[in-house]
Amino acid sequence: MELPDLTFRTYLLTFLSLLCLLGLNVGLAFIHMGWVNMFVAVMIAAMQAAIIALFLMHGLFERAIIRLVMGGALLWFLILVTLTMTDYITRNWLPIAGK
Amino acid sequence: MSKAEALALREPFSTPQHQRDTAMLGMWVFIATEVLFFGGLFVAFAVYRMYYTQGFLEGSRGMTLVIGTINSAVLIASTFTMSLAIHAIQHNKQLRCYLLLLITALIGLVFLALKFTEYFIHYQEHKVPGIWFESHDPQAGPEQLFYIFYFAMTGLHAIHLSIGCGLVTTMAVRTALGRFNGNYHTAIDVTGLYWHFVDIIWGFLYAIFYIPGFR
Amino acid sequence: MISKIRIAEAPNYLTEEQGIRSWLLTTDHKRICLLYIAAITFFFVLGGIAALLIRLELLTPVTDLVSPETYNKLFSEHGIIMVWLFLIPSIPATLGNFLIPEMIGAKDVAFPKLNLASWYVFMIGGLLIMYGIARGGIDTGWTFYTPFSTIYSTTEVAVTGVGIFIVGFSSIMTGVNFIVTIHRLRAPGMTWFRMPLFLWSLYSTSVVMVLATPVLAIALLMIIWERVFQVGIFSPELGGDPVLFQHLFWFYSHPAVYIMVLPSMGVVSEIVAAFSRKAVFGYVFVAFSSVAIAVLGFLVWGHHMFVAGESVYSALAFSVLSYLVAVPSAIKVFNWSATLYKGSVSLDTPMLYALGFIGLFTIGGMTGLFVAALGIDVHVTDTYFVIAHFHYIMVGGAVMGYLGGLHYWWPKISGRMYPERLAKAAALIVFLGFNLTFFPQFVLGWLGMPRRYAAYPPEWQWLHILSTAGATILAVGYLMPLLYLTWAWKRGPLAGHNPWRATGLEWQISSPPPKHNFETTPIVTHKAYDYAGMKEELGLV
Ligand SMILES: [Cu+2]
Repeated sequence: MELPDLTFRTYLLTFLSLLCLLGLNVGLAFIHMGWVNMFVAVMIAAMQAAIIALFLMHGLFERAIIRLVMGGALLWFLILVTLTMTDYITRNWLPIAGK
Repeated sequence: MSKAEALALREPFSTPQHQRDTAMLGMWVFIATEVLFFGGLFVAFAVYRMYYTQGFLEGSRGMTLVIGTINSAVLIASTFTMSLAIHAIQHNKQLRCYLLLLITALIGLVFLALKFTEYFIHYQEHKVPGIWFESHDPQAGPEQLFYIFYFAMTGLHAIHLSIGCGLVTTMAVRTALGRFNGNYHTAIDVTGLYWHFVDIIWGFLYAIFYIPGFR
Repeated sequence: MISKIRIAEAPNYLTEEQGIRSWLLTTDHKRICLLYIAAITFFFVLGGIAALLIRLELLTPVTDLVSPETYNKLFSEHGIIMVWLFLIPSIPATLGNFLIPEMIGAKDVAFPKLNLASWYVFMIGGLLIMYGIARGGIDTGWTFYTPFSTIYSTTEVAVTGVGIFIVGFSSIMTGVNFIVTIHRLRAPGMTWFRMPLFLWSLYSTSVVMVLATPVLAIALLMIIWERVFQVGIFSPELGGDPVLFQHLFWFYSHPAVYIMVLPSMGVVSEIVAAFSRKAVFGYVFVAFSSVAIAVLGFLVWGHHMFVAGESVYSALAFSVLSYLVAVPSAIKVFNWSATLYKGSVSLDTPMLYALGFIGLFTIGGMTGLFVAALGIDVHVTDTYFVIAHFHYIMVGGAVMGYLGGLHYWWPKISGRMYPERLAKAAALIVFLGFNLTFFPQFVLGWLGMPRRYAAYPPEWQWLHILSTAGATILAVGYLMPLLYLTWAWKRGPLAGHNPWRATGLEWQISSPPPKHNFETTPIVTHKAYDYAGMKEELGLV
């Protein structure tokens, strides 16, 4: 499959939206929201990642297998996070030391 | 099939298109590996950050926020020029592609220079775990953990970016030598994927290390 | 499928180019297979010697042959060498390398240079591990548990760790290569559901390699950082959590068991079909059970940490998830048995190994259910029960599969037959020796003998003597194929292109195959194992 021929305009818009998200990220960081701050920051990074992956890396226009690889990598990272966290979040729930 | 294509076509493939698709898939699978490679560090960071919220916040306050933010913008600019380089070679504009690749590599070097300036500042502030670390804070342990992850993750990212600079420069040279044209530019596409991926990683590093420091 | 005209004395991949250069710079997947066979055989012997020394030390209840410190190093190096330098690359890098392009009708793998690079990377990592041994070795066990590996051990943890880190990259390279090859280089007509089951299992294996290995790499890197810079990532003094290392380590090392055993399952599917003269029963189920094992294998790693300080709720979840893996494994065993049913079974050497695999893997899998159960695991954690369990999987399963596959495809690789009666004898010796070595260890573990100890109460000596006797027999059984397969390389009778009258594209080309496998790209019209539909072509009527 040949690369999609995106216009210069598309690339410029992607560039500007990435910069805007960076600005938004900094701006929101000044508002005190506790743990939500970190969550928002990571979500904005995820949006930037999605824009880069889908447009600049042409993920949006690629064959199904490439999207499968992208989804797989994400899913496996989530498996790693989720199952590790099942341990750390539920530690000390029982009133027994070390459990 | 042009001369450049014929030269670049390798053993198990019958058509350049087939070879290109295969190379791109290979890079994507490698990127999946890289996601899990950095993923291990992100998970470890998340666990400690959950346990030591205060100490890690202390660490974030020690970041050089201005340089970090400029660096984010710098890398975003480099993804832009990288995309334009691919756009240029797609339209058979070799000179423009060459220049854009050079600019991309140069922006990468600017990033690295700024990053090492930051490292030097941390060194002067005695915040380098294992080499020179001082803290009078009661949260010294977690703060040191924060800096360990900061150096490990940004360092690993810097190594990836250095490799990226090398690749992009090689592509620039090969473009100048006329190895690529509008019909054949697989190697540049593959390099582009890698470059963009390294930029994505930085976005997350910026979010977890720098952003909390603004408060 | 196409039939080919074979010209006598036509050059093959072994004779087309000569000289050491043509081997060390080759990008031919078949030659790289042989480079890997040479390398992993060397490491297997080395790891085997360590195992024999361990068994000799355990002949008596006291530490007399080696000091406790040396004993620690022996079992650590045995584990490290056998896992990373033998089992992980064993089938994928050798038989997989040789057969993937031939089975899908391709001239080579997708990235031939990357393939060669993977061998060099493997060798560099292997040599670094050897260098670590030369400097005194490592005593952390193959698991590198923190904080022992980071704070207390004074042995060569960093060098060995870097070695394994590098070897990991060779495994990733192989994985990337295989995934892309199977996706992109299948011949016309070779649809996913016409592929031999060996390819399904190797595809699943490659997915595990690509997604699990990087996490091991990063975990080892953290240990190395912690040691070299004297910082505490997993050190409780700074607030670090040693158990976090175990999470990252087992995220790789549990699925790594499937890197070892999935390819063997693929080999067994091929052999069972060929020597029953039947298509594998329930092809689609066997194919998808490989994928299922690869995926589910990532959800169970916490079962290694039931007593390590993991939260009880997490342990519960991991225990339940662990039982899920039993389902696709059982599907495979049932389907192989169903394939044998009413097949015209012949008991050639590869089949003996395949049947051995099915039996031993079943025992290994069933005892896996024991240790996946929370309560029982508390009793048997870190005992010989666990040792016996995973050796039934990794030696009884993976190594049996490797040997079976090696015998099955040796005529293709070398062009010559091995001495059948000797080979049958060796297969039986391996089977007996294996059971004698490891069955007593189930008993020992149940009685409470902990792993990694050089001394033990005298009343257990008779079980240890049985085990050591078994290990000696097993060593003989392993030595025999090494000798007669080498002999057969030059002296064995010519095999012809299809000595087993098996289906599969690899059996349609001459033995040894020509350099580019297929003169013209074959067009596939049959499903896999179509023994019924290919009777005439195979001469089975
Ligand atoms: Cu396990």
